[in-house]
Amino acid sequence: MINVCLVGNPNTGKTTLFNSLTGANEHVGNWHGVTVEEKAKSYQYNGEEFNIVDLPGIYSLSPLSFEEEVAVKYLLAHKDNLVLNICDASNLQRNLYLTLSLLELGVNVVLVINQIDKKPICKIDSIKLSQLLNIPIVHINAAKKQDMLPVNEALMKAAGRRPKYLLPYLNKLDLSSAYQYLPQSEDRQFYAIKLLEDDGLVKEKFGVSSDFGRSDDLASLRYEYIDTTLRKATSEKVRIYGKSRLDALLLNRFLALPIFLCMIALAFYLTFFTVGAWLSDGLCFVLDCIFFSPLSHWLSSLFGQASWVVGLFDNAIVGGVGSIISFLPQVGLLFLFLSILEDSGYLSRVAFVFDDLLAKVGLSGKAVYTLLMGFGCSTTAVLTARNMEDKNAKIKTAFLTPYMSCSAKFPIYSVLGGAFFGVSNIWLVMGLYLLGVAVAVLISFIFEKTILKSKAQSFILEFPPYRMMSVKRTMKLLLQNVKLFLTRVGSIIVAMNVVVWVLSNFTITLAYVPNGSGVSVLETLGRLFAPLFIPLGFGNWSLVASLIAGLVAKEVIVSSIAMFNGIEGGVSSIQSSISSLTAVAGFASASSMISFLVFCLLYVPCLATISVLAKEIGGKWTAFSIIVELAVAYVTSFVVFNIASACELFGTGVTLIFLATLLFVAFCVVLVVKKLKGKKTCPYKNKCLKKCKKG
Amino acid sequence: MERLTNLKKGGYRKIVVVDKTAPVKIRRRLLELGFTSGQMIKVVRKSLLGETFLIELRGYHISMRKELAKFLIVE
Repeated sequence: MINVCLVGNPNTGKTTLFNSLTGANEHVGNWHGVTVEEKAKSYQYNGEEFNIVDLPGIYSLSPLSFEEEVAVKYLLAHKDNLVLNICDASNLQRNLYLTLSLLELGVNVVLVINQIDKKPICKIDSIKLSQLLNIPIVHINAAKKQDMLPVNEALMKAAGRRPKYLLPYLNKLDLSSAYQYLPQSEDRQFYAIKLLEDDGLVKEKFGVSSDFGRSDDLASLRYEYIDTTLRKATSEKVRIYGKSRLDALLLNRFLALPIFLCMIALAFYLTFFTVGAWLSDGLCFVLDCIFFSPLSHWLSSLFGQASWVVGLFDNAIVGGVGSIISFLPQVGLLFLFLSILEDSGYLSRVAFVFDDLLAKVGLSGKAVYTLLMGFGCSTTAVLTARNMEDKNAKIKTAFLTPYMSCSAKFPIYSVLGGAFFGVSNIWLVMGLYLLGVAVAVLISFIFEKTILKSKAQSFILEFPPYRMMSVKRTMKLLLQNVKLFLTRVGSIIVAMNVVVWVLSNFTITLAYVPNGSGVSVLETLGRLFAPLFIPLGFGNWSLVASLIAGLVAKEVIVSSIAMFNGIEGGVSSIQSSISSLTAVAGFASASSMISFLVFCLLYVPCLATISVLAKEIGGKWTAFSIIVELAVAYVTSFVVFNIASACELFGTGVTLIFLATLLFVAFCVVLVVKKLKGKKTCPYKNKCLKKCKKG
Repeated sequence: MERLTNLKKGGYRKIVVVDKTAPVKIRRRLLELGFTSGQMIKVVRKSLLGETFLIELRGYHISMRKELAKFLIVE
């Protein structure tokens, strides 16, 4: 077996190459740091077994962020592995810097030059380059399966090689000054270089305290060597990597924000209200006609109408699963739009433009990526918080991700909100999404001022070129998401629905009590907590029970409400039987329903997210996040319920005027308090002094 | 000699040095990215509040906050 490490700068196509080589389906994107942990897979080629590990992107062997540390540690611990180093053909100069670091380490390197963009920035003579650097080089497009043949051949050839690299620039360094601190070993040269660069980890390892201060010289020497080598092996560059005329428009100081918001709103509108909704209705109809109805009839003719089997099928499967599966097109489209954003290269620009705005609330521009991914699935999004350089920023970003309304929550808004408001539900749903973002910003701001102050963040982000998504990749992504969604529905959601159905249709003594003809287990449990929710307007056992069930997966909230109220036949019937729903489901009014939705938006995320959070930011922070979520959800729902109730009672206008007056009064009070305080100690004292000095 | 953060956008300038007072790790990263003395760089764009910089260097674009960009001293 041949062990291979896949190493390269961020966003050079490591995971693309990994997928092409192994046939895996790992997530890729046109963004810095999509891969945040090592992933391994084996494959066969020509009778030989390859075990390949995909590592997060690094710039050198001195890590700065968390995911870089993972990669460097792995690499140093597995120096015997073959190293498959991938460089982006469009940014060779910078990419080769890492290659030199690898050669200094003395590992067995095979270099892949990845030609991602069709129009090359310069012509590369890979044979000449291979001779100059004395390493095997293959020049390919990592996305093409047929290009894997030369890669595999090169790996086969290189396996077992014990290369000696001649790096002429090392002679210009006084390595011996560092040698005295190091024991005789294979890696002596590498560690000597790291000492000259004042690498903290290496200094600690060998108990060296003195500073060498040679990192300037090393960087200059390496780049000089790269420049002279590339002059011999490549032609002049014809353009600048990542530069685009589009930037002048998309990154314009005044237009950037409106353009971004318009794009998001458009994606949102297309996904949830037009294309997505039409597809969803179609799917609903088809499923009902060809699948659910005939099957239900067949089952009742087999077991009789009153049997529990029919009850289970009609309620748990048709009512529960049916109501969720109809959202397949919407969820699929949402993930597709997120992928398009990610693949286009626009996201890096967004991160750049909003970076200093986000800095005001203590977040990095890179948080844009994590938070946007949070609209898809919080569980996977939380993981990407690793590419933050600062620990506090990482905790904060992960902490805030669950407030982004994930795709599993959309069915709740759509079904319940749609039942009350019909077409104008779009405003409610948009409001909910914005509320989630607003709450996250507010929490971040409070944290920045109190417990989680972020250090000055480095925020280094490269601009990748804009890229169009190919039709093939679009289709592949769509299929992948559909598959993921169906597996999820088919496994965890069916299981949860069956559990909820059993708990809500059997008493503690295991007697079958369909349609509320007795007190079920879940009803007992729900009634216990229900009084707590009376101030929020939904102190009804079935709603409370559905919230508990929703801890496992948010989709279950909709399906269990459908189940508890004996509504069968998927989403269309839920909406048509709205009158019965309001009566039975305990929504006294639209305001109690809105309050319920707000609670769903803000309360504890699903168990999968909680477990990832615990892994990423530790048990203590996770426990704290759960407490904060519950508190925020409770308070916000309470406020929203009372405002909405007031609107219903006194009319919207009167309520708004009242609220505005209240806000104005509060603002005045704050101003007065600030003024009074200011007489004792001026908060701007330091700034004043500075101004005076300047003046 | 001037800090990069004092520059307006446009126009190439030559790097003199990465500020020696910068933290070692940050300093090393800037050097690794190619901000070695003698290189020509340019401020291509600034963000909304003008505190994050987009810089052209060695044929590519990279962005960083003023907390980092201030360590770049140009001629």
